[in-house]
This record gives sequence, C-alpha cells and structure tokens, in this order.
Amino acid sequence: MSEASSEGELVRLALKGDENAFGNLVELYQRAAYAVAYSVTGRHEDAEDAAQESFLVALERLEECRNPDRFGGWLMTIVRNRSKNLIRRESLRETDEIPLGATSRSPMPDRVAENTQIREILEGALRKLPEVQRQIVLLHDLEGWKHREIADRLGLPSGTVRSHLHFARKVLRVELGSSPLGAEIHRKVQ
Amino acid sequence: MDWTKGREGREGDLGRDIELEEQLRVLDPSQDDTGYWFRFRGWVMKEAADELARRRLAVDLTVEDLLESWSRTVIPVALAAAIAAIALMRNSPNDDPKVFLAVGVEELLVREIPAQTQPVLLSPNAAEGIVAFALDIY
Repeated sequence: MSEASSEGELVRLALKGDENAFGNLVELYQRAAYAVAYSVTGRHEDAEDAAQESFLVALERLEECRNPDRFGGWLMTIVRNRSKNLIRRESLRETDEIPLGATSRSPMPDRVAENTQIREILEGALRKLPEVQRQIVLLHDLEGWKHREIADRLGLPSGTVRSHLHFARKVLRVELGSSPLGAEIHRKVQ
Repeated sequence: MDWTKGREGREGDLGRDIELEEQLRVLDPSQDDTGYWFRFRGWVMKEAADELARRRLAVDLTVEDLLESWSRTVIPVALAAAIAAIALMRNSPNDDPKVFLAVGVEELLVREIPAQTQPVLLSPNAAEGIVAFALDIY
C-alpha cells in the first residue's frame, strides 16, 4: 500500500470513528502540525495549543476533507488558520495588564536554561523570516520532510519551496553566526 | 518517532544542513521532555474520544447497516411467513369439505329454532314441538 493510499484509508476509518486510525494520523502529523503552528505563532505554548486544537477541528470537519489521500495538506491549512486566529486572540489579550510576578519562573537545571537561551536566539532568527520560509525551513530541517512533500502539503510549486529554503537558510546562518550563543552552538556541532 | 524519518533519498533537494538541523532541534519540545509527543497524542485522543464515539454511533445507524440487520432478523421471518402463506393458499377451502359439512350440520340443527331455556325444553308440553321431536331422534 502506498503512503498516500494508506493515509486515505486512515481518514476513511477515522470517519467511522476508528480510534486507532485517528491515533495514527495524529502520530503521523503531530510534529509537522507543531512545526507549522510554531512558524506562525513563534511560541511553544501557542504552537502546542494550535496544533492540538487543529487535530480536533480536523476530526470534527473530516467530511470536508474532499481528498482523504491529501489529508496532510488539508490539516496544515487548518493548523495555519488556527495559529493565526490564536495570535489574533493573544494580541487582543495583551492589552490586559500582566500581574506582578506572573512572568517569574522557577529555577531550571543548567541544560534546560541553556536550551532556553539557544531557543531564544533561534526564535529571534526565525522571526526575521517570512512565515512561509519559517514553515519550510522547519518542515525540511527540523521534521525532515522532502521538497516534494512540503510542496504538496503547503500547496506550493516545488521550485518555490527550494527557493524559500535557500533564502531561509542563508538568513538563519547569518543570524545565528552573528550571536555569541550562535557561535557556541556552531562550536558544539563541530 | 524517529528523527531521521524522511531524511533519506531527498533527490533534487538542496541537501541536508546538519549544522542548522542541530540548531533547530532545540525547538523540538521532546529535547527536554522525552515523553512529550506521547503525551501530545494522548491529550488529542482524550479530547477526541466523544467525537470518535459519536461517529461510531452514527455509522451503526446508517441505512446500509439497518438493511444488514434486517437481513439477519426481519427477512428470515418474512420468508417463513411467505412460505406458510403459500402453503395455506395451496390448501384451498374446497379441498377439505368435511370442515364445512360439520358446520353445515350444526347450523342445520339450530337453524330457525327459537331460543329456549333448558327447563322449557324439558317441560311435558315440549314433546309436541318439532324441535323436541328432532332432539329425541338425535
């Protein structure tokens, strides 16, 4: 059975309420959904919420997935829309006053703290990219998706994906290379 | 899930950027929490349980399934009834005249006999009537 037809079969089974089939779909796309949500929201908590909610929305509207073999692309559209809605809601909430001490955090182990620092640098670098380039670079270099898969799921020509990836990597290399921690990451990888 | 999944055979791709991949891994929530994706899936499945149950229930009530369930219960009963009806129709009323003959005799015996109580029938005057005579003979 091909990947596409098995994906279609999982959708058809999920339509009938098959728990295992839906669970497999979640497992298949949870990382990609998170990556796409993260590329839009830029925050772990928001990306998590948007990705999880997107699976529930997808299940509720599964009849609207006209081509079950292309469930991935359809899901990614839901993830992008949910993420954008979440940002819109967040920006409305941000006008509220933040209570004193609400942002304080409990002490973290060194490694987690270090990762947090690296994460902040990465987040800053990713923010320099247009949304579509963030999606592509995360799906390609974080999730290991192929050009063809990204093009298929995001509804973009393969050449456009290549071009976006090329420019996204270029920007990220410059941004990460210019920060002290970026150099540290570079040293570690070497 | 395997991090290397999907990384092989990316023909025509720009190729891997190992350094960037390493840097981006920091964004993977399972880097600091190995059970993250397992819990992620668990949360979605928990929240989806009602909808999945509703779908299973809806499937049980489709026309196709109704017909299927009918084929298991109603149709055999209907077939048995049809066979019984055919058997009854084949045994037409003219084939069993005895039944109607017995009814005919009964009717004949009671036809046009005025309703009378037992004491009246057994009274001394009763012997004068045709009915009493017939009853005696019978």
